[in-house]
Amino acid sequence: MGFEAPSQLHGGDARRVQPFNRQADAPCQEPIGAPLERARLRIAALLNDLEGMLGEHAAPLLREARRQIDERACRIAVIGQIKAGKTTFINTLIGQPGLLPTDINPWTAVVSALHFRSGVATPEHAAVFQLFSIDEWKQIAKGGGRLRELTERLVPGFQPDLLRAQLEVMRSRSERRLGAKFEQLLGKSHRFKTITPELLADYISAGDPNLQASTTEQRRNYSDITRSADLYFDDSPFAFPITLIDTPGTNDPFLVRDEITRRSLENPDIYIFVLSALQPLSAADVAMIRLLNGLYKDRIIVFINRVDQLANPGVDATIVRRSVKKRLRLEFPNLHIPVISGSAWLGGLEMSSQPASGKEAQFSALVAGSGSPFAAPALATGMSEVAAAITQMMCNSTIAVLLQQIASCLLELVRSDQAGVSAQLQQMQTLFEAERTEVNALQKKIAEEEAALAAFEARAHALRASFEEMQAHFDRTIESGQNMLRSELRSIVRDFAQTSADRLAAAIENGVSTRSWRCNVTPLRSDLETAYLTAFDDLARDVVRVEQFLYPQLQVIVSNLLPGYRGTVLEAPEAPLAGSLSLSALSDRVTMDLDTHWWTHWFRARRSAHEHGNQLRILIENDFLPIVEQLVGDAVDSLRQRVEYTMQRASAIASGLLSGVEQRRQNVAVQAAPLRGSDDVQSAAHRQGEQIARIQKCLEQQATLTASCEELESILAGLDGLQSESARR
Amino acid sequence: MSRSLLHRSGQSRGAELLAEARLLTRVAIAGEVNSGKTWLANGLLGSQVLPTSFVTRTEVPTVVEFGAKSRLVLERSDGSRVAASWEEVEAGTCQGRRLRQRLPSPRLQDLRLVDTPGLGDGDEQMAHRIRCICRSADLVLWCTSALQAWKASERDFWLSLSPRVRDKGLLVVTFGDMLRHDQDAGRVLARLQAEAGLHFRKIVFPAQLFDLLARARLQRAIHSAREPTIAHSPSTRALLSA
Repeated sequence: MGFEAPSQLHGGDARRVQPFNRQADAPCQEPIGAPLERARLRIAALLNDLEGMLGEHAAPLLREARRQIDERACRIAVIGQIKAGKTTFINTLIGQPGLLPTDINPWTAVVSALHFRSGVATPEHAAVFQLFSIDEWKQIAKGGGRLRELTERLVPGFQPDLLRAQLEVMRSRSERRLGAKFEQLLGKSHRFKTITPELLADYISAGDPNLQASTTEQRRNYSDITRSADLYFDDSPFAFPITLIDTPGTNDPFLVRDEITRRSLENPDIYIFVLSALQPLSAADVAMIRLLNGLYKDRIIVFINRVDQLANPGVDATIVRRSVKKRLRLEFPNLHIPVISGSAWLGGLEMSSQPASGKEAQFSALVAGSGSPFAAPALATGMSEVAAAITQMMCNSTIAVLLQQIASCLLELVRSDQAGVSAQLQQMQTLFEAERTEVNALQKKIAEEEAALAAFEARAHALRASFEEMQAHFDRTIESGQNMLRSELRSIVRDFAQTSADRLAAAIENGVSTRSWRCNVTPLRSDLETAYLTAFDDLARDVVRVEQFLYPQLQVIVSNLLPGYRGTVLEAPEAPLAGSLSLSALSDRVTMDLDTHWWTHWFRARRSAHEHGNQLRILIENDFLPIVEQLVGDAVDSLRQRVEYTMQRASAIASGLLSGVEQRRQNVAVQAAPLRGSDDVQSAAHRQGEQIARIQKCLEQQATLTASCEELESILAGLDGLQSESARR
Repeated sequence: MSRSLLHRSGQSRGAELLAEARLLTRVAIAGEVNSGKTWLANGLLGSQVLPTSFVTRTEVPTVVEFGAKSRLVLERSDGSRVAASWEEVEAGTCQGRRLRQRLPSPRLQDLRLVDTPGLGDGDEQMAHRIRCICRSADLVLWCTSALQAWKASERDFWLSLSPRVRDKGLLVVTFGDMLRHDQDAGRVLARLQAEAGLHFRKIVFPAQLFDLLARARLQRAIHSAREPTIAHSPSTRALLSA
């Protein structure tokens, strides 16, 4: 990678991320995600061993596990209002102050994903910038997307002048910056082998609107037509593979790209919400946290940035932190949100090797706590606390759940194989024993064995057939559940719409001023959320019930098939089902979220009180019924995925058992050879040798499988420990 | 740094403002939480009259006007009035409609200030009251922090005021002293001109505002000495529309 950071610091050691921390009790820190990375590496090593050892039946599951282990990174999105210091925060977190461009004006214009992954081959390109497709650009150029759609729905025919003006600015700026034929660039992606600050400035900085750039300078600014940026770093300051997502600030008066930004923020594992200490937690911030789809699970960290700009940083930072904490507890009583205060800028300053000058020197003195005229307490940058909070949250995130799932799935496969091998071993030993005593006994034994095998095989086949029934049963459960879920959510929306309509009509009739009127849909959202989650839980319970019926069946079959079976194999999978459920549809912006001044336009239409109410009802229904559809679709997807996973597991195990039976059948055939009289002394000796070798091999296989089992059990125990540890804190 | 630049861009409009300030009576100060409203009010009063605390925010509108004696009165929602102290206000024990601070300050002889609570905590009732206060003022000072200037939420509120009210508005860029680089003030100002310039009469830094007001007072003093009868002339509104 050819990036040369101006500060001469680049990549590398994660300890740089916490350059100084003067708190006495600061824990000695590992790089971010270290505990999970250890589990990941152990699973990866085991996968290598298992791939050669387990049979063909396990191959699809192993492939899938391998893909997840190799490719899945923890996605951390950094979000917040404009000028909260998101980009500065990222620069400091990755130990490369000055990498991503920052400015006094809102500057980040493009969602950029920074991919960090150590120890893999360098991707061919270090930077990939995807420009808007022609369709996307047309959508922007025509109306600015969702906002326009919403205002149009509210006040048909009303032209949002502001939006139109902004669109014109954007179009003419693109033309000025990129030439009249800039539309020919659309749909392309630009790739580069190295990352340079100039490159980043060209693609992700908003750029100076007043600069008549292209004529005086060689470089061109593409930010207006860039949809996303992907930057790849092979030298990671983090332990676990991490993708950091830098976003343009919310609450930007330049609102054209708003929706595209929202859409490209798909399902991060962790959100870091950056606030400015000077304006901590406004109503807009609370609304945004409320809308984050992580509400169901703890996945938000709040970082109060820029405490260095408080009048009295040492004291005020604590006060701000306390008040933000209090407010969050009040707003989200069920959510544990770590709140950390600090200054990413100071952190970056500490890291930078450049001599501080002017104000910077003054602040450095303040940080160091020495020579400060105010004798203020030393100011922590908060960065090491953030790192610790991220690691802790990762241990409880969907990533940890995923590792757990993979490990327990592998454990199941290994155990069923282990049981198969030990049954085989036992059989061979019995036969071997019988042969040595007498032919008659052998004959009898073989007949018995063949009969048993035939019976078990029939059972195993019957089991497989019953899987199909099971699948149908799952489908029916999901189908009926889906309809119930839909009708329940729809009736909530309808009731709310009707109540709001009646209330509005009554208010207008009673002469209440509509000037500051606004329909608050927060209760509707939270009602929908509660109903959705409850209904989903019920549905999931149904699915789990079917699973719980299925697994004991499997266990009976297995214990019949495998005499050595001790009853610890094949537990029904634990149900982390709801954790994977997405609530993002609920955060879609609707007309009811539009600001009061849009509504004043709506009220201007001459309508009777009743008509106003009726219109409102229609608007609410048009807003929320599609959201209900989306939610139902998400629930069904989530359930189907789970069912597919369960069925895949069950049939992998069944196939494993059948192939074990096949193996035993072959053994029996070999044993039966002398009984058919085609045997001589030499071949008998040869056969005996083979048998001994086979037994030997079985014993070895059993030993490795046992070792794998122990390793997997210890990985799972470790992951469990991490989770309960972070839950305790 | 920024001052010279502002002076240059503000010369012609400055003169306009002087004419208005000559008869100026009611000034409303509004903006989002922690945008330096109370700090600006104190600046206009020339002393630390109102408590600027980072933690306890201004919860009710505060009227500062001339009075023979210095006293603070709380007007309750039912219309009754009681004497209050800033300690009580800061402790949060004072609930009411507005605070009224009377002061024997010579600066208040041509000035009546209303310092409003910060917007942005989602209180629609308060937002509506602030709109009313802005409507009845002669000059509206909208405070925006140089460090996080002109957010969409600010613009949305400002545009919800009628053009007539906006025409009385000055955008005051506070916290300019906390910018980290010398060229930043100019850059912030350029962006504000581009994005908010159309919606305000003028964009100023506080120092420039104080300067203009001082000059207005001086001119007014000279004026009234020369032509004493004009001191209480037609309403500001008539003058603005002329």
